[in-house]
Amino acid sequence: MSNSGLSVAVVGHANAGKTSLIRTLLRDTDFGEVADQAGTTRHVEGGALAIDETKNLALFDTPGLEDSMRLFYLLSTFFDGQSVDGIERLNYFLAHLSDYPELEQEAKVLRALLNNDIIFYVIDLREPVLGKYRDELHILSYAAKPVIPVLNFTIEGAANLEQWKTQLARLNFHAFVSFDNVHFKFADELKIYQKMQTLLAEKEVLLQELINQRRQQWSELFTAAGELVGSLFIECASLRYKTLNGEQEIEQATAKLQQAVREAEKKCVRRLLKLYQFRKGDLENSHLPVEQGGWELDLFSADNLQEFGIKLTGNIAKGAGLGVAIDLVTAGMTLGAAAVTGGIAGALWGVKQRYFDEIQAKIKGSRYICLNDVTLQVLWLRQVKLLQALQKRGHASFAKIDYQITAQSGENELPQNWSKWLRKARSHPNWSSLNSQSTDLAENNRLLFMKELCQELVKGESLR
Amino acid sequence: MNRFQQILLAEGVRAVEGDSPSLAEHAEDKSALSFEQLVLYRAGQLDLRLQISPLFVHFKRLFVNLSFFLFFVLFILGAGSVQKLFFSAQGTEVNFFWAFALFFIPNLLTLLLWGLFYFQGTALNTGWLQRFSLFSLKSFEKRFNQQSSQNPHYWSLFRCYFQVTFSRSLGRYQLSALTHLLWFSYFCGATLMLVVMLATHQVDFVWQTSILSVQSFQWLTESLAYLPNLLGFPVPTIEQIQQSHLGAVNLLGDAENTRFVWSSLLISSLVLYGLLPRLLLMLLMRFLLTAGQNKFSLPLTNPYYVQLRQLLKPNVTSLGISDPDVCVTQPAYQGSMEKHTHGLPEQFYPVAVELSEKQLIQVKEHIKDYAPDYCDSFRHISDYPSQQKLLADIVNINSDSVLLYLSLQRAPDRGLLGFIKALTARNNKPCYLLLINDGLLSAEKLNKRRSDWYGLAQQADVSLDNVIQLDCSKSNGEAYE
Ligand SMILES: Nc1nc2c(ncn2[C@@H]2O[C@H](COP(=O)(O)OP(=O)(O)OP(=O)(O)O)[C@@H](O)[C@H]2O)c(=O)[nH]1
Ligand SMILES: [Mg+2]
Repeated sequence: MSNSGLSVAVVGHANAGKTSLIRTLLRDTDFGEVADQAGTTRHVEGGALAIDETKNLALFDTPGLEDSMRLFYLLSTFFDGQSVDGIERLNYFLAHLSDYPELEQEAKVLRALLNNDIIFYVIDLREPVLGKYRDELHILSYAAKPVIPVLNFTIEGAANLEQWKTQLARLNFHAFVSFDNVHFKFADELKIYQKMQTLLAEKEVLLQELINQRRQQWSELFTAAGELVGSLFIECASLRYKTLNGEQEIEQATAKLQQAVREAEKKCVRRLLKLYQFRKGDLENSHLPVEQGGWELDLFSADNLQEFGIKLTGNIAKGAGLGVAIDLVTAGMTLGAAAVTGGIAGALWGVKQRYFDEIQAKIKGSRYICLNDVTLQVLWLRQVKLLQALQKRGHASFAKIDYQITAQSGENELPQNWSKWLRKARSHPNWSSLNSQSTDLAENNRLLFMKELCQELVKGESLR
Repeated sequence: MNRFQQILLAEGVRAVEGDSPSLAEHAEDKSALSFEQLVLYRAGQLDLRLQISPLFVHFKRLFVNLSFFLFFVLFILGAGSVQKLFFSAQGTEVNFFWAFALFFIPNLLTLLLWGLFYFQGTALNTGWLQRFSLFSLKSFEKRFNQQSSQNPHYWSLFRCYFQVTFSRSLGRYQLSALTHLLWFSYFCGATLMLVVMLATHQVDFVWQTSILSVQSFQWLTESLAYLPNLLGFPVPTIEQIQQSHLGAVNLLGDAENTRFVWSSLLISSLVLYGLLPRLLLMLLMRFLLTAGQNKFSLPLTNPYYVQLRQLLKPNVTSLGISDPDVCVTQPAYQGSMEKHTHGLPEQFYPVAVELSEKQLIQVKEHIKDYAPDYCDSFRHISDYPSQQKLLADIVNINSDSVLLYLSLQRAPDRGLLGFIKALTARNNKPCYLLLINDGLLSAEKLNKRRSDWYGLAQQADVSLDNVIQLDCSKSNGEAYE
C-alpha cells in the first residue's frame, strides 16, 4: 500500500493467531483484539514498524478465513471452467460480492491479498492438514503474491510439523518459518524478515535496514535492562543503615531496610516491564501489597528462601529470614569482612538474652545493618530470571510472568565475581541512593561498576 | 544556547524526573526531528516550566567564582613566597639556582604527577581537587543560598550539573585546566613580585655547590640561558657565570651589569619554564574542553532514554481500521456452560468431521462399540467434495439419527456451521454432535470451547441435549457423558 515501504497482509484461518503475530512483531500488547475463538477480528487493521524516517513495514491484520471451502469452490466455478488467471477470479468475486453476503469477511481478506506486497499465512500447527486449509492456500496462490507460511503454536503442535511441511511443499510453498507468538525467539523474528528478503529481491536493502535496526534495538533494550538490574544490585548491596545498638532499634532499622529494598525491587521490576512494553498485570501476583501478606514473592519471607533451597536451621535460619546482616564492627569501618551474614542476626534473635547481652557487652556504640548475602543472591537471581522471561515472552502472551526462583531450576548460577562484587558494593555505601546522605559524586566509579555488572548479565545471554 | 548546554538541560530534566520520563509537554508535530533533537527540544520546553537553566547558570558562576578565588589565593601565595625568599636570604646575596629550583622543582613534580593522572583516565576525576571544589561549593551553597533548601530539585540538579560537567574526559579537561590555571597564577604572582623586588632591592646572584663540578654548573646555566638568549633576554656570559661562583673575586668590576643579567635570567626562565608552559597547557585544556563539549552526546543507552525514545519516537504507528464490519456480530453463546447431554442415541449414522489421524482411530474404536454396522464404512468429511457428497446422500440413509464426531479443541468456524446447518436442513433426523476431547486444553479453555460449540449447535438447530463430550485423554478408553 505504501509505495516507499513494504506492506504485508497477515491472513490465515480463524483463531490461528494472526492478531497475536502482529502484536508480537509490533511489541504492542494493545493491537487489535485477541481471544481464543473464531471470528475475533472482523476488520482489516494496520500497524506500521518504522524502518527510517520515511519508510516503514506495514502489517495488516485481517479477519480469519472461515469458509474457504465454499469460497474456493465458487472461485473455481467462475468463467465455466475456462482457464482464467487467479487475480481475475478474485476480482470477479469481489465485483459480485453482493451475491454472497455470507462471505463478506472472506472478501476483506481477498482485498487485503490484492492490496499488499507480501502475504504471511499463519498456520495453527496443532491442526491436522485439512481440506479447508488446502483450499485457503489455493486461494492465496490466486493472488500471485509471495507467501510466507508462518507456523504458529510450534510447541503444542510440534507433532504435526512434518505433515505440514510436506503439504506446504506440495502446494509449492517452500519459504515457511516457525514463529511462536507466546514462546518468543528473537532469532525467529529475524528469520521472517530474512525470508522476506529472499522473496522480495527488490526490497532486500530495505529489509536489511529493518533487520539491522531491529537487532540494534533489541540489544539496546537488553543493555538498558541489564543496567537496571545492575543498578538494583548496587542500590541494595551498598545499602546500609546505622542504628543504635539496642534490640529494638535494630529491629526497627531492619524493618526499614526491608521496606526500602522491597520498594527498590518493585520499582526495578516495573521499569523492566515498561521497558519491554508489557503490561503491569502480566506479573504474577504483583497487585497484592506485601503488607497484607499477599505477595508470595516477598523477598524476605522464609518461604522464599526455602524455595531457594536454603536449609533453614536453628538460629541461622532466623537471621536469614530477616534478610539482614549486622556489622559488628563499630562505626566507620566497612562491611567488607561482613561475611558474618545473617547468622549473627539469627543468634541475636534466637537465643535472645544470652548471646545478645554478651555481644552487646563487648561492643558499644552504633552498628550498621545491611542486606545479607543470601538475600542479595535471591534478589539477583530473581532479576536474572525475570530478564530471561521478558526476553522470551511474546506480546501476545496472556500467561503471568513468574520470576520466583526455586532450588530445582538448575540455572541458579551466581556470577563468578559475586563475592568480589559484594565486597566492592559494600565498601561504597555512598553508591546507594537508598542511603540518606548520598549526594556524593563518586558516580564515575559507580557507573563503571554498573557497566561491569551489566556486561556480565548481557554476556550470559545470547543476543541472536 | 549551544548544544552542550541543551544536553546539560536534558540531563537536568532527567535528574528532575528521576527514573522514568513522566512529565508531559504539549504535543506538536515534530516527526521530522531525530530522536536526539526531540529530546533536546523537549528539555527546552520543560525548562520553561522547571526553570533549570537559571540554576545551571548559577552553578557555572559558582565554579567560575571558585576558580577566581583560588586564582587570587595562589597569586598571593606566589608573591608571598618570593618575598619570603628574598627576606630570608642573608645579606644581599641570593643563591640563583636555589631560587630557581625552589619555584621550579615543585612545579615540575606536580606537572609530572598531573601527566600521570591525565593519561590514567578516570583517576583524575576522583582526585582531591574535585572533591575539594565540590565540597566547598556545597558547603557555601548550603550556608548562603536559601534557594537550596526551597527548591526540592536543587541538590539533584546540583549533582547532575557537576556530574555532567565532570563526566569522563570533560572532567579531566576541566580539572586539568583548573590545575594549570592555579600554577599559572602562582607563577604570575611570583614573577610580578620578583620584578618588584629586583627593581627595589639590590641583590647579588651567586651559585654554590659542594659535590658538583664548576663545569657542570656552567653547562647548566648555559643550557638554562639558551632559550631566554634566543628570545633576546640578556643572559650572563661565561665570564659572568664564573665570576658569580661563591667566593670568586670579581675581576670584571661590572657588578651592576652582572646583577642585571642574572635577574633577567631568573625572570625569563621563570616565565619561560614555569609560567608559559602552564599557560599553554591551560589554553590547550580549555580548547580540549570546548571540543569535548561539542562532541558530548547524551547517554542514549541509559534505560531512561530508551524509555523516552519509546515515548517520543515510537517505532510503531497505528494505521487504523479499514473495511469495518457493517452488520453487528452475532453474540456468542451466552447460556450455561454445563453439559446438557442425555447420552448417545440407540442407533445412529456416524460421520467424522475434520479429525486428526489419532482422533480417527479413537472414533473407529468408538464406532466398533456403539454402531458396529458402520465400523468400516463411516465417512470422514474433510473437504468440499466429501461435504457435498454427504449432503446429497444423507436423505437416503436409513438410520434414526446422524452423529457427527468433532474435535472439541478446534474453535468452530462459519464454514463448519454452514455445513451442519445444511445437514440439519436437508434431513429431519435428529443430529448429534460428539465432541472429542484429547485433553490437550486446560479446563478453563475447555469450558470456553464447549460454550463455542453450544453456540454453534444453537445456530445450527441442534438441541443442546444432543451435544456429547467424549473424553479420550484417559488411557483406559472412553468415558463419555
Ligand atoms: N500457546 C500459544 N497460543 C497462541 C499462539 N498464538 C496465538 N495464541 C492464542 O490463540 C488464540 C487466538 O489468537 P488470535 O491472535 O486472536 O487469533 P486470530 O487469528 O487473530 O483470530 P481471529 O481474529 O478470530 O481470526 C488466542 O487465545 C492466543 O492467545 C501461540 O503461538 N502459542
Ligand atoms: Mg484476530
